[in-house]
Amino acid sequence: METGVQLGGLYKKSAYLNEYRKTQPGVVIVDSGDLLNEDEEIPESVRQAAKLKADLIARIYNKIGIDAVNIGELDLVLGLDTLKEIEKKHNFPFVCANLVNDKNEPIFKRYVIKNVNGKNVGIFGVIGDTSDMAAKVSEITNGAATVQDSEAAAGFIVKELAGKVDYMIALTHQGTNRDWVIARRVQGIDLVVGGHDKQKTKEPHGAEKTLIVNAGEKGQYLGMLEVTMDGTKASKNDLFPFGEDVASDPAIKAMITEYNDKIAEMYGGPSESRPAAANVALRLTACEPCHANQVKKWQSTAHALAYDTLVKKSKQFEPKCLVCHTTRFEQPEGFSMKAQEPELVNIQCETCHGFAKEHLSDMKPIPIADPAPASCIKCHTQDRCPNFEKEMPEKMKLIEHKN
Amino acid sequence: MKKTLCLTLLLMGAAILLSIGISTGSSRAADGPKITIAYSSSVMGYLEPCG
Repeated sequence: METGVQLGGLYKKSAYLNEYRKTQPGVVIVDSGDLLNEDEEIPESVRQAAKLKADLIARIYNKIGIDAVNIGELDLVLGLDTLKEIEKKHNFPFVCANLVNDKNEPIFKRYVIKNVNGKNVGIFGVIGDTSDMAAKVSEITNGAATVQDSEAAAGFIVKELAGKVDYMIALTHQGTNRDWVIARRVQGIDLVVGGHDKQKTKEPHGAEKTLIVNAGEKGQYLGMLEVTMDGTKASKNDLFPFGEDVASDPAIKAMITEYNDKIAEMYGGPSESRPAAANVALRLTACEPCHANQVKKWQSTAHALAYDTLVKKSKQFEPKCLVCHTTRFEQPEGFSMKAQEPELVNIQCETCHGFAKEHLSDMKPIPIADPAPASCIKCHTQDRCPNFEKEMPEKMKLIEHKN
Repeated sequence: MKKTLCLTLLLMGAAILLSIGISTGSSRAADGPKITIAYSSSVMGYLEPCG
């Protein structure tokens, strides 16, 4: 896939923080949730890989020196058991004050206190309590977890920690609108680190005496708020982008390589031996007898090389990438992690035109004869292809195949 | 007259010392301990850029 500047990488985050701490040792590292997973549903064939990755991320974050991580609903998709196992196995600092079990007991720690440069920093988490979010959490956890009033939970903790901490951080996972409500109504919070709606704030919002910040998504940026711990608590904020010019931590890179190798082993060995274009009858050969010109045109496009680009980067077992580099990933009779069907690699006809089973067997109309541009944007997202929408007419010419 | 002059000088000296004290105090406050909060959200399992 043609991309813009690619930002992100946990190895860059680690190297950057290691360097930063050499001159500024008083760093608190936090995350406001949806750390471990992106998908609202995890297919069974991907679940094992997803758990392995969550475990890896916890180990990487511990190595980086994470202090507190709030729970997001996408983390819960992995299963409460998995999160509790990670918490126990890695002493991982999950915090969430308003997520409770059937006895109304908090499932995770409500807060942690960290002493930094002689100052006590209190950090607590809350997850959104809107009816939508509450219903989602209940559904994801099969009723094992319930969301309580986030404002009340925040107020309770601020009261409990009054006089015990010098700086209070709320990690929220509820969207900016609700963040404003908590910041205005709960006196005593110095900083709200927001999440869920993937906002990015270069300049913090100021709600009374409380700052609200957001750091975007996918680990592309790291927010850095420097606070002078005098009476004013004056601060300076920066959103640091992890671009190509940022150094990498080789130890974290090695951990990720080891994970990639394990996943490859789990799903059938290195696929260099079965690259996309080599002697494999792709599924679109079924389309060729009637649509020969279209298939010929397709062969000259980047869509025909989508899987090879993953192989070159050793990412051919990464479900996140396979969604956009194979045909109908984890859909009925589509490419699956378990089977790794070589005939379904690349962006073939059915990716845009829909499942062709009935069209092929009974000559019923193809589900999507003229795909809408919205279907392109599912993969050509703003962060991957920042100019895609602007350049769409030109891009469409590259794959034009009506005749 | 001499007494008044002495008292004035004494008060002025005290005022200067007090002002130095306050200014030093402010300067120390400005240079007070710093903490940095490094924050992220919605990392969503991205180990490295995917595209």
